[in-house]
Amino acid sequence: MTDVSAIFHPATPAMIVGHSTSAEAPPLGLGEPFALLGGDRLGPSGIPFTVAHEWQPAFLDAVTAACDDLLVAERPWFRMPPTVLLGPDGTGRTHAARSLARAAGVPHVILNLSDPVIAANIASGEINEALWVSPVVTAMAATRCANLVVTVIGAGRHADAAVALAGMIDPVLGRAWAEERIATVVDLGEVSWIFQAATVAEIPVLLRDYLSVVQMQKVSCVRDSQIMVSLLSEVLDDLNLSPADPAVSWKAVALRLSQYHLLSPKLAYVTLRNAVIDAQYAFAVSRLQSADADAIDPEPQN
Amino acid sequence: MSLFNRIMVENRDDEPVKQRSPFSMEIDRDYEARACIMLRLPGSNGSPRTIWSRDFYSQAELHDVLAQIKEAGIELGFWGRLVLLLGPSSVDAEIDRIVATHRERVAHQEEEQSRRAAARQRVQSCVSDKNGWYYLTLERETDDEPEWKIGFRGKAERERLRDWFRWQTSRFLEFLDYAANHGAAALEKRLLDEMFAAEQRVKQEGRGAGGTRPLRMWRGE
Repeated sequence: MTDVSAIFHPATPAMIVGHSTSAEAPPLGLGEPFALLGGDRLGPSGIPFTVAHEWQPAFLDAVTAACDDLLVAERPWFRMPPTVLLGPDGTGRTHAARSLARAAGVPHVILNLSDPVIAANIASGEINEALWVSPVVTAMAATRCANLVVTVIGAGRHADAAVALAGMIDPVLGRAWAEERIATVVDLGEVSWIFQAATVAEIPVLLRDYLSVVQMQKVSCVRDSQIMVSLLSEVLDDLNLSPADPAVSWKAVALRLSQYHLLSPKLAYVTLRNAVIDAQYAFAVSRLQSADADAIDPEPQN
Repeated sequence: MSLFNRIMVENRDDEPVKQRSPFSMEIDRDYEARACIMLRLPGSNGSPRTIWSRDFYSQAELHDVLAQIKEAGIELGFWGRLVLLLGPSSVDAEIDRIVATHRERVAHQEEEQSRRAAARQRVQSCVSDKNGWYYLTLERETDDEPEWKIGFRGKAERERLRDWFRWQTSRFLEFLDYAANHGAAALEKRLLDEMFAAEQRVKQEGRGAGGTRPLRMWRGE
């Protein structure tokens, strides 16, 4: 018997982001529909719950507000207004952005403008030969997703890049971002821009009016805390490990943490990552040893 | 903050409404030694879902474990998130550790209690001299102060009683019980009566040492 409900899957919304300015079709498949993801997770038990971050109430409030606004506007995909996460290094800004992307089910891209090649490419397509199009558009094309979460680091390091970024995040100009090298205008209007800065002064004046400010709190990571679970989730994701992997147990990981109290999420991430790898290694060794023992001393057969 | 809360805050210019944790720990109504971590998804009107449960040996053990969790300051959200990420077994392992600590502590307490109870049953006799008084005392091993004492103005009088008393070690506990029931003075009288009776009997048998310490040569037979 046919499952009738299976026929009626809600369609994933999509949009065509690339429009050619020449006679040819846009390259990189930019002329094809790209998915707009996360619409099924906008409710209170969706992204705001999955992203966790109770230890960063301002961030959580901003995420919840963004989801609420999308629900009210009946836009069934995730998008957060351009935001700057303010806080010193090690407050978990990248972790927050990555958690958000994971909770929304959208790809996450880091645009590090501290890197001169990236910054130059964003500023002008003419300077750089290494990159063909901007990293954001490349990521969109690679993931076939129109509503990426983009973390921008070092926005204040390069004045030309800041001007270009203002064009990218502008609600009108960003809808027609010109990729001159491929003769295509790209709609960046559904991208969620998450900037990072220690203080507002680090953000170029040109960009400030576009950004909502979210003040991140300095957090310390004690072993048995929610932030550690959140970081562990990120570590498992990065190592491509399933949480169901028998080598991954909280007991085994917690045992290998060098300290009970870690000073920042960045340090906690590194420590957790090492602990998980160590636990995996120990698990593999013990399994190998038990296999060897079985081979040397097989059970007597009747 | 939810849209509703934001509207309320904007309109009322009030303090923001604090969000309730979606996780709670509850005791099963049907089985009082079972703890459950419940998840009530935000925005859901449905009943909370049990994401982890555990049966304890007794209700007392359960309450003790809950008290330890509270004392350690472990957030319930931590357990909840851990269950959601790694599954219920991850919390089981943590609870096992707490239960093991609890059982070890209870066993240690019971051992200490029984050791103290046994020590309380052991009574010894001591002598002390203070302000011209010569005392013979009965002390429990667990106590610093004597529970019963008898004082004499002369040392010889104390030693006379002591000659009889030192052969009564198996009855020390009984003496203390007697003193507790009938008073210290009643015990004094009883002991002295028994001593005189023993002296008389020994004298009649011709085994008395004579002098101020007739039972000096007596061996408790």
